[in-house]
Amino acid sequence: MIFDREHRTFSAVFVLFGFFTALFWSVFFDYHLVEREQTQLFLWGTSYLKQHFLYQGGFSVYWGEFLTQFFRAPWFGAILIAALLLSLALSIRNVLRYFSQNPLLDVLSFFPAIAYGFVFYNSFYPVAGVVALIIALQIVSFFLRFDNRTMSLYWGVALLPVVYWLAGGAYLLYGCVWILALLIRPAGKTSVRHPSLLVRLFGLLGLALLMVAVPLIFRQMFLFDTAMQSYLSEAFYKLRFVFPMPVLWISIGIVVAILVARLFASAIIPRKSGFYEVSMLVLLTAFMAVGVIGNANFSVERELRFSNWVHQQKWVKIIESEPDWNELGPQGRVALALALAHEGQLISRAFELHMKKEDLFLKYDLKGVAPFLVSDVFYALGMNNFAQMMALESIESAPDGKWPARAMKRAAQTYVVNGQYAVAEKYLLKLEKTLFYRKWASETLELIQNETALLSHPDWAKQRASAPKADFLYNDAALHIALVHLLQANIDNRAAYEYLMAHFLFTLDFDAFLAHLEFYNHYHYSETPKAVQEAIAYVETIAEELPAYVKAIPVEDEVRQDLKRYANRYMQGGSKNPKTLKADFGDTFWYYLHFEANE
Amino acid sequence: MNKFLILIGFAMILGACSRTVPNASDLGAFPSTFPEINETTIPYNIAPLNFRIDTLCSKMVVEVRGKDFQFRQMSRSNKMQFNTRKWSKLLEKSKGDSIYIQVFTKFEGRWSKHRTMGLFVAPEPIDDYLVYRLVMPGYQTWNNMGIYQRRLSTFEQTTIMNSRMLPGTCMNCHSMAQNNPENMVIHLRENNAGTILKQGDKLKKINTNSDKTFGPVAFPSWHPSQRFIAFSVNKVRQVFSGSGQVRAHAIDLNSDVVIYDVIRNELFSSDVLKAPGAFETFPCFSPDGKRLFFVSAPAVEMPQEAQQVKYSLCAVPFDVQTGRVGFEVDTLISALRTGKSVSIPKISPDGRFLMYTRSDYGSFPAYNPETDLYMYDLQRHRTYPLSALNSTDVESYHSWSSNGRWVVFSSRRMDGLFMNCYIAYIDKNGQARKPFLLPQEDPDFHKKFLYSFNIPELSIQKVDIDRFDFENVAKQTTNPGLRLEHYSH
Repeated sequence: MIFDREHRTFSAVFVLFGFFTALFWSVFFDYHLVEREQTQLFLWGTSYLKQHFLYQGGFSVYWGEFLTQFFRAPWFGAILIAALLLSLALSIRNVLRYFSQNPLLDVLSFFPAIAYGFVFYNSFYPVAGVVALIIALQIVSFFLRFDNRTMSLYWGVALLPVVYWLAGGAYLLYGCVWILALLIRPAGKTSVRHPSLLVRLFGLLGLALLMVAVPLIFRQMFLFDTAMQSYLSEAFYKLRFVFPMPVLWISIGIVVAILVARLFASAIIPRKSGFYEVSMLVLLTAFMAVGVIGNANFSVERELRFSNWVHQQKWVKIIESEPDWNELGPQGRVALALALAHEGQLISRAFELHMKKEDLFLKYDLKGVAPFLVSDVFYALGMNNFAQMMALESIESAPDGKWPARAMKRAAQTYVVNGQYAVAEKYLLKLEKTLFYRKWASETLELIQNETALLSHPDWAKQRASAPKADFLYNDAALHIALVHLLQANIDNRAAYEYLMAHFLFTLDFDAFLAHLEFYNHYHYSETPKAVQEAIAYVETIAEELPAYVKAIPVEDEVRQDLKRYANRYMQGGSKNPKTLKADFGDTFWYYLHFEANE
Repeated sequence: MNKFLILIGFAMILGACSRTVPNASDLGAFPSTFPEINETTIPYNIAPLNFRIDTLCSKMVVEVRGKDFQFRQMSRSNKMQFNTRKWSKLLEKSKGDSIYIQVFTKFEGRWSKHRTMGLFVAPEPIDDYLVYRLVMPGYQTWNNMGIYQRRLSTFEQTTIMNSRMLPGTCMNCHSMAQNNPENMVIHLRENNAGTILKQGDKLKKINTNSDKTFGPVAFPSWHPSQRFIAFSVNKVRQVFSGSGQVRAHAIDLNSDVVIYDVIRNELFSSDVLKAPGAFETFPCFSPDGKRLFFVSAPAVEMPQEAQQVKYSLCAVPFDVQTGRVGFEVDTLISALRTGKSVSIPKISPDGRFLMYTRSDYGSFPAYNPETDLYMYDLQRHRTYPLSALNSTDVESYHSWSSNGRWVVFSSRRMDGLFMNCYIAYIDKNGQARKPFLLPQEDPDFHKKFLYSFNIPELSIQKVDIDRFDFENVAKQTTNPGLRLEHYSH
């Protein structure tokens, strides 16, 4: 039946839209899904469910969060996103069917669903929004099926407060559909007894009154919410003071789809529908293409990907992905710097990549949401307290006030590393109530009962050994001090050494650079990093005497020859025209020293 | 038949409840409870001190005995949540006397009897409400906080204001005049910044930022006439430790004490309250209104010398008729002599005792783990530690009850991070008795609660603020500026 002439367009779009949505999210936007999971903490148990029944739209938020927890596996998350958007399309179709019996017009229901897919590219729009719309549309379509319109109207009006409580702001769409049902006689449905004028009049007034009054009454009675949020609920946007305009447009789109379906109910005849069907397919495809191009931010996806690789400490993967440095955003650059440091390549490649001091750490200036990566960089280097500070910032700056799982886990880890087990336990007990962090949390809860076992665990032992021992204060303008403390605590912390030496080269602090070359041999570099050779070769030309440990570091003759060539060209006009030097020396420390350090 | 079975079942339950515990072996030791309740002194109008015991058990029977009333309660876990009605009756009948709690536990079929715990029920009640802010324990950003009030005789907590109502607004430093919320202030920062002044049913927003002060006012103390409120103006900065378990420190880069005249809408100060070479903060009016206490430290280079800043306790005369601050500064506790830093002075309602915090340095004791509570006897001019209240971690903000017999204070002793409220009895000689943790319905509450109880203030009645009025007033953007003609006199 679904592939008959009347239904084939809907079925084809259903399959294609579902397939491409799942494909797109799983292949091109998978880290957006992962991020959604990481910014919430769905807790199993009745108390969490109860909490969500205490505010308008909470039911939708609960189910939205329930589904979002599975986004941890992006392929499954992609299927869920596709399923949700298809469910939305089906829910809209169910309503359209009341107004128009023409199945060829069912395809209109895809426009709002596709549009909601675009909205999802922005992680501030929670999954709960679609859940809420589906709930509202399913309830209204259920009661529209009754042939006794007067009775169904009574039900519709009576259920409005319930829909408000379950679906938050979607109750407005619910009310609007009822108003349309009162104003418009459905096409081609002879069995329906349309309510009398008087009933319709009272129905309209009642609905309009309830739509305005219900949130106000709830707010007056017990809701602690702004007036705007009382109408909207937190199901639609994470920032409470922002009006989610796209959701309003999509809701208007659903109403328009109903009107169009009713208007053209008898204009499109199945026998002559070929042109119409092709046109709709073209239109939907164009709509989808334009929407994806206009809304999908692939650079954000790339940033999220690098951030997650840092979180998983996949250093080789970051390097092997061979990112184009110029296309990377701040998170990608820091991720690459950190990965190179862990693989002992940062000093070698820093100038080839035209890195700067700012690329070593991600800056958070206390505005907006603290990115998870800020904490992760500190943690990966061993700066446990700063990692903790920033993990707590990520938790506390969460726009919707939810517990972000990734930061919660990081906070727990840092308290374990610091030996603050009572605090760690609080975070671990929350994580233990989740589906995907339960195992790790339970194991860690067991470990913190047994310090010996904890310290014999390679990860915890390494992290504790890396943490600075002497006290010093956080200063984001002088993080090299923290790096020195890291090395004092654990000289084996190669990433910290790479960071520190890169910092000295970036800031042209030759004294500190030479002083810390004393520890160079500890790291057993297979060959002297090019930048180190270039820096030593340069210092040789300005210093009277170098320490023996510096002289012992091999510098290839070729490097010294290159420096001479560079110096000659610099003196012969290159100093005033860097472009002439860039082709041959753009990836050297000397070029950075003269032309990039002060940019 | 069914009715018969129900009756038998009911009789069995009753029988089980009334039986004494058979063949319990005597452990001879007190049960290890959370929270600790043994040997505490409690008010007769406090909610049940529910507890859990850290002993493996499948069943627990607790017998609670008072002078004229006793009851027994069973639990099928290691948690005891008392019947509120019976608990209240017991305390009511045990005023000025002790109550005894006997715990029996059953594990692997065997009953054990723990040593009987004793609690003293003071004859004086505690104020009915506790007002506090709940805030995450982090650092500089927030999206979720609120000011709440707890009815102390029950577990009922209600919201005064929270971030759902005022998104992006930081709310703090709620302060009531003489424990009465008829007159109170609440500060708002960031979004909707300003100070909300409540006088009776009226709310008013004051913008205390001006070109003469270097920031908005904070840390209020009401004059008993309710005409004046002393504040401090602070330029606070947080610094974060790179190692160890002390996560952060807060330092004042600059601070002055100012006084707000509620009637004239005027902010004024005095040379002794804003001396150029000193940091003055945490003002506190004496209950008779004739003196203004505050803490002061010589100004140094900040933040480099932050650990050298040690505050002394000082007092100056205050004339309520003229609103003038006297010039004779009385140094009651000299930091030079003690080598320690005084902060948060709070005077008992009878004017006899002054409770304060003592730290190694600085004026924000919440960040210094060594901070302890001390008492200063204003009659005998001697100071002493309140050892019964102190722990190895921070004891910080504190508030007296209106009858002066109870104090509530915040402490990080539970885990070193989260601030929690403890309540203690202070006898007429200024000696503190063993405190108890603010009771919670679920003894496991603190295991998963990820907020700090901040600025606990006792209140004789419920804070009655219409949240919509509060929201409207908070969102006002056109606030008349303060009069500052006498700011420098």
